[in-house]
Amino acid sequence: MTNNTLTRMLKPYLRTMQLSWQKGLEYRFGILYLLLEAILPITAMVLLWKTIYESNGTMAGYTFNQMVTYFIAGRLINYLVLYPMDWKMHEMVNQGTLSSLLARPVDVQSYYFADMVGNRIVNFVLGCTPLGIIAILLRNYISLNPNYVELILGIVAIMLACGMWFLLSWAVGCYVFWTHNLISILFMKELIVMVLAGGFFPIDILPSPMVHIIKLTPFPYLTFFPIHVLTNTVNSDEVMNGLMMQAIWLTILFILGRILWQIGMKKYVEAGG
Amino acid sequence: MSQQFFTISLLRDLEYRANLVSMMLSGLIWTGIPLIMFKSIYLHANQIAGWSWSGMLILMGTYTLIDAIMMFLLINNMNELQSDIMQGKLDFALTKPVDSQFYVSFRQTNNSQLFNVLPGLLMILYGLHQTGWSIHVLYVLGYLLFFFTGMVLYYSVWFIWTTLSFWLPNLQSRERLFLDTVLMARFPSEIYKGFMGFVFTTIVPVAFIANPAAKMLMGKLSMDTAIYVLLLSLVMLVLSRFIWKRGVRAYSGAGG
Repeated sequence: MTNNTLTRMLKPYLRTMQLSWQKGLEYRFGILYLLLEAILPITAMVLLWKTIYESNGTMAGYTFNQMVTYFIAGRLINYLVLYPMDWKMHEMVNQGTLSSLLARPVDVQSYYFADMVGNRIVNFVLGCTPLGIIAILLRNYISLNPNYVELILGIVAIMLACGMWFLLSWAVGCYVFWTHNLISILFMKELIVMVLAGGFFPIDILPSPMVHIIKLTPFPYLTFFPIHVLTNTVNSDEVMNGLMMQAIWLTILFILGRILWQIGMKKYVEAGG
Repeated sequence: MSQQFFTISLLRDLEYRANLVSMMLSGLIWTGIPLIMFKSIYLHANQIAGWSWSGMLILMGTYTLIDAIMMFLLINNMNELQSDIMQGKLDFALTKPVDSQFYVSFRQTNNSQLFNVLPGLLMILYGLHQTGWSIHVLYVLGYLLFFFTGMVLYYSVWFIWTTLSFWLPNLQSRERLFLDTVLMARFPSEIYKGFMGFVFTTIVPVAFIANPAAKMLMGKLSMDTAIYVLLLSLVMLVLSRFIWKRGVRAYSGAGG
């Protein structure tokens, strides 16, 4: 292949790259915003914990570096896991898009599952840039024990958490067939789930009876568990146990979602939707 | 027929009431989460940067109260001001026979925000209860003064940030960035050290929104900080005025 044909073949792609680069420059304030939005809450948390650790050696077994790592890994996992299936169901019932979706020869849940997977890839690319910058800025505080096995298990745990989050939101979203005003309920659910999942702070700083109860629910497997696998702070027995629990909850949530959807659908069709 | 109408409207009322209740509940949860986090931290530590649990309650209660009042006054208006500037629809506001900055800042309130006044008050009262109500009358008066300067700082930062739309109209998520930043006001100002300390006590002084009032109530506000905060709130307010005037001039000059 001559140099000339190669250039001609690559030209459209190079042009596209150039265009997207220009577009990116146009939105430079948007990028600045993304950066600030990612940096500010983490900065506040790091400064707060730094002060707390000045008069305390460890906190519920976490050293300062482990705490900082927890928050950064938590941000990353939230970027990857959160998918607003329940908000989408609210929108699709209230705006009537569900009816046209039902007319198509697709399974609605599978359709949105595919959408969720595609969305994860965009989020991964968008979320990793600011987080990568933060990780470089805070590299002295991050404690990772890189290990290929743990990394792969961490990715598996995150993928299972994505599925769990999707199915959980699906089950909650089915409530839209019984009420039309779901928004404040969804808002509350989000906050409560984030706390129980360990998305705001590690759940094991809570009083231990509460921790025991929370660990019986599916929520810690959404964020708390994947963080610990990814940062290599649990032993292999706990990892295997956790992955199994994720699989069990995934099955339960899947069946629950299917049943709720069937009942809700019946109600929806009877109402002439 | 009329009975049916009655049933429908009753159902709608009930739905609204359910909405009201869930709005109050979500406000409670929103203010409750940081409380749970700090209560858990205090299970493992006696103090954070010199703040006891009761002091922290007063600080977070004060923040919640200021935030509720300012959101009630500003959230709708800052939203509208930004879109007016960006879409060139500011003329209507400028021709009003009242001061234009006052008008664009306070034209309509968002009443549902006032729900959070209650949890804020409860936190402060509970914090005071934990200290055994050892408060001086002068401290209460000082508290009111620094509560007011806190509101002035909250207003000035948000207003200046919104007014910058005159020069930087492309920043879409301006409001969310402010709301994310102002959350930092509920933490003790002692955590902001070094460069970050300079930023959050001088350039974007969110650290001095709730902290001075809470310290005043506990009799722990130093004279230096008190004077600095008084001057700072005055400077920020004047600066908001200056930037608004410059912005309006740029806007009118562009024939907007």
